[in-house]
Amino acid sequence: MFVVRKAGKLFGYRNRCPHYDRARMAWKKDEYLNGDRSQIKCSAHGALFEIETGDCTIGPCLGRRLIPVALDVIDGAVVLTETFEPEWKR
Amino acid sequence: MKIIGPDELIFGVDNKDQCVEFLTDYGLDPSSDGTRFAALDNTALVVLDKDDPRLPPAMATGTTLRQTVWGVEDQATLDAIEAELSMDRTVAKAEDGTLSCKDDAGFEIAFRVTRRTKLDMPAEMINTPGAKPGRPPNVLGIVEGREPKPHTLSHVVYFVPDLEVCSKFYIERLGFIVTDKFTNTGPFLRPQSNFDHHVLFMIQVPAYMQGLEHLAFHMQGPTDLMLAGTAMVEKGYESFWGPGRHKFASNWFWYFNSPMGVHVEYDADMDLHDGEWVERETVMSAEAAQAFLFERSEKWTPSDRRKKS
Repeated sequence: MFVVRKAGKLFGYRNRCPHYDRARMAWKKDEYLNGDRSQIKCSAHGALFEIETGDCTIGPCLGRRLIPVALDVIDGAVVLTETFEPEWKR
Repeated sequence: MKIIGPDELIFGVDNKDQCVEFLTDYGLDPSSDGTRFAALDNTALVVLDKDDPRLPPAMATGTTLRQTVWGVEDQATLDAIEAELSMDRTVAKAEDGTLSCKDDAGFEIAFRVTRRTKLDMPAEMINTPGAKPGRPPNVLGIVEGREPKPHTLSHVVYFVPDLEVCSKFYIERLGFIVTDKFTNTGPFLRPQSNFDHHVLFMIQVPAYMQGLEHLAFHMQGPTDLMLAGTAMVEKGYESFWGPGRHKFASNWFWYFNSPMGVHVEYDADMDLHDGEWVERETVMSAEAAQAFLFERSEKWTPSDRRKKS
């Protein structure tokens, strides 16, 4: 999974592009955004997603969305508020 | 039509610095202005800012690929392509003689007398019991510090909305030959001046997905592919698929995500085919796609002891 901070808010998503099975999205460790850092980008085929909603705005998974991971910040630490099981391991 | 293969792929991106970082680490040699990234034979990727006026127009789908430049053997081939394609579309001719137009799927394509240099380099040498040694005594298989370099731009794979229309254009208008086919996915195509199993492959998708699925460069051999891919993972780049070995084409593969938003593959040891080859067809599946697949893991040795913290 990965977490994006925008305007002080955190948004967590599974590291899995809805386009391809098992498609991890960064091009390099921690690199999940497009050039001007306004959208989440999948570096497999260039799909872009809204940071706040995970909705795909252009590219091969148009009409689909990232799977959110529920987060909270408690005492300055980011915590998962639901059970998270990795879907596959590499 | 004496077409050899892709000479150059041209991209328009919103993250040029990231592309420079990736392509340099991938092993390509950057030009002094940081826009052209060449393999050993001078085939290359060109990466420009998406608003650069020199770029052909962008597709609406968001793919960063702006043009595929095909290298041909000679001027006579260029003339033949111009005559053929001018029958039903506008073919622009640049001052240097480069032809450009769109293919039947709407991809921007160009043709020019190839600028690749002819490589004269040894293959990966291996020692096999029963065969004459590939490496004579005292010549090492692993040489510390030797950098594996991409030799030549190998192939491109398009996402296309109409497989029949797009493949027909390359087969009927440009003389590409089908070597093998994945049913309902697409044909592997080679042009007439290249024995490589494929320089072009297509995958049928809905129209909003049209673009470049991946590009690949040939490495010297499996060892360089493994070394180059391992170095990429160690630098933090994201492996997508591989290392492994495909069945069709028999090439070793290792695909990575890239900041251009396409997969970039290392490949090695691809089958060659000539006119005697009879195409095969099979349904695409995990079993059909690869003879074997591995995942890179961190280096360790059996003698390592877990240190107490």
